[in-house]
Amino acid sequence: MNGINRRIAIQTLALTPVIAAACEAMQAGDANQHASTEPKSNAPKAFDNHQYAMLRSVCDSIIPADETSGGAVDAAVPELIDLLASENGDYRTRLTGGLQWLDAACTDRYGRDYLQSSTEERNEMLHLIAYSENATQSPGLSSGIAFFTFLRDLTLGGYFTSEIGMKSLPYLGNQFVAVFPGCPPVPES
Amino acid sequence: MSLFQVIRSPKVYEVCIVGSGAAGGAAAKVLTDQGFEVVMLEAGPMLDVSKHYTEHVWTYDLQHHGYGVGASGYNGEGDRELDVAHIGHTIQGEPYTSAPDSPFSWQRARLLGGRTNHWSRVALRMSEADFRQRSRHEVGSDWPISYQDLSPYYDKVENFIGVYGSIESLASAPDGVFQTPPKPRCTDLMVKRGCDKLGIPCIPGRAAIITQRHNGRIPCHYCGQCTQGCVTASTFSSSQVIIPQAQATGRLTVVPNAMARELLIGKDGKVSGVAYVDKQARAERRVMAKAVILGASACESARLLLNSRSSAFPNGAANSSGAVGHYLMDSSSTSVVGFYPQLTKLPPHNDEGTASVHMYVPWWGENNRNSFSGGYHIELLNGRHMPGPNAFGTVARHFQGFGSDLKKRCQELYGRTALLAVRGSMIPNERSYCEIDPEVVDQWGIPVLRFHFKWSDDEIRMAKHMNENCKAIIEAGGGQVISESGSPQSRYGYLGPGGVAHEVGTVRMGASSKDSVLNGFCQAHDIKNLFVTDAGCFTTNPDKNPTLTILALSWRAAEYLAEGAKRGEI
Repeated sequence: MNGINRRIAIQTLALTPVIAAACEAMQAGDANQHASTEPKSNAPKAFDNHQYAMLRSVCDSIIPADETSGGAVDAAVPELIDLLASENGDYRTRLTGGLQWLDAACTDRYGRDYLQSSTEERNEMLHLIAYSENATQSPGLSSGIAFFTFLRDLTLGGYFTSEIGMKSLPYLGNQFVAVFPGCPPVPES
Repeated sequence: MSLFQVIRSPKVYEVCIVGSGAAGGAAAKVLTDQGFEVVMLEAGPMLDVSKHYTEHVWTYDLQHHGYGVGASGYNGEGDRELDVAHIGHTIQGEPYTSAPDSPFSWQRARLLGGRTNHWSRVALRMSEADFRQRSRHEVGSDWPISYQDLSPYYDKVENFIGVYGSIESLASAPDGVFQTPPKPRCTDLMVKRGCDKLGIPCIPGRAAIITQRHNGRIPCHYCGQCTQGCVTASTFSSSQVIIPQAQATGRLTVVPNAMARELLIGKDGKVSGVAYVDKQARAERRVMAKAVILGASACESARLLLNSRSSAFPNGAANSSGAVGHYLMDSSSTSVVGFYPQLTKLPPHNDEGTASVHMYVPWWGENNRNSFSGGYHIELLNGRHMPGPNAFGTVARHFQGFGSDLKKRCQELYGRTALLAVRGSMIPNERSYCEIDPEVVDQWGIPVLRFHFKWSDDEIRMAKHMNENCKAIIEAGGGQVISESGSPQSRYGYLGPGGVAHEVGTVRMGASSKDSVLNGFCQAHDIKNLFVTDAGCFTTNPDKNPTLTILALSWRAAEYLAEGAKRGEI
């Protein structure tokens, strides 16, 4: 079904209450299919401006740009996380709560919130919550560790499913291959 | 007009098939080929390739990068955005329940072709020993049929669907009719290197993907995206390979969006048709047939039988034994991930291959003294595939940290880790079953299933063996284990029940009508014109992935039905 006919069909079907739910699902499907044509809004959906600035900063620390490839912010990972959090209340709670925790932890330790802390201080704080074993010595870090683990998974997932991230690997598939060549000779050790 | 107006169709079909996956598809093929007029009920829509297939899509062209709306597809939680059949363990409006401390994930598809749109295509024959569990180990049950009974039907199925593999003459992994297997991926070679040192067999994989032209279908083009839909139909699905052919005979009527509610039982005690809900019209309808074949999936078929109560069958149709819903089994499963540093010396290349196994480790311990009575095989599922949302979860958990170091780790390990995915047997036990939840109905008014599930000690003991051998294989090949599949306390990382989606056994076949529902031809002991040919009919669950066996059993049952009908016996 092409776009216009499909849209008309959805509008028509939506007049029947019992299938309205199905139409919503179809429209959600449409949004998926035509993602790249939709204009991107700059205002975050799930975060306030302070939280979003923090999110961008932490994502950039998790996957920074380097000499060979862009980083998580270049790959629009914060935008993806914002989208997912705007649709999933649990994600939103875990992320906004985790960012609040991070501000509180920095204030306790450095007397300033995360973004106002120095680069060295931010780096030190992230190191504290980037390793699960740190919770053994400092149980107070466990909430921060859980938050960072969650955000790190989302950042890696968003980054390596992006064009920039895929090229950095590099991923060379998604091709038509007539004969699968197999693996080149592998050294013994 | 009432929302639930009953519309009776005057037509009487020769056979009604419930479900269009492996079981329903194979039966439809055999019966329409032999001239029978068949109606097929499918609970989902017809397949629309332009809408359902996501083959060759780039994740970054999807608004949610494969996570699904609200991350609903992340970690297989729900609707997988890139899966043809949108496999998940939740379907809106169609719940199921689990008893306390007995979680069970029930993966279902609602689409023409069912889970054959999605399956991993691993196509393994059960072995002679697999049919004789009680005789060999004094646990579980023997099947009422032998390998010799089923072997000709495995031949027919493999000839028809196309399976790659190699002739090996191993007792635990009977050879079949094979096309040339694809060459190994790099990680496959590393695993084989370890297996060779340990004296463990590691052989070409066996999968229902064609590598040569076959019955008008063109060979695989190695994009590694079988579960996203294959436009060339090089990978087997009922929806692409069987249904269109059966429809072309003019003898198959497919009724989509038809959710079977109840079997209709006539005064003669035979099944006379099926009552179903037309999901789009929300209307109650009936279809009449001289014989009925259930291929709705093991638990869905059990549910349908249990919901078909009548004066003749107060505990559900064909359930005089009380066995319907019982002996629920899944594959026991764990996984270990190994990184092979040697592979960093190779230049980046396209090592994607098929979405299935290029090499695998068949069960090698059947003649050893083990602390358990089952067996398992190891599927090698890696390669340089397009990363999905969780592609680097293992790397992150292993190395932790952040920044340039972590980024470089991801790049270094990408495509150089082998996932050893173990699929093991389960022995039927009394504590694993499904029943009708007396208090919950789905949005179609149909009472839902409540699950009970427990692994037995036998499976737990086998998990230890799985875990230790996988680690030994990785290390012997020069690899480093980066994902430990759990501790003894966590049962060596056993996936949760239902996690492998190999649920079988709930309508089992057996020699005696006292403790089984079906005879060896998938025919109900109690109702001679009723057959259940999906994995519900399995007597035990060996380590072999069920789909190939479902196809063979259903093919055999349909031939038996056809012969009986021609003689006027059914």
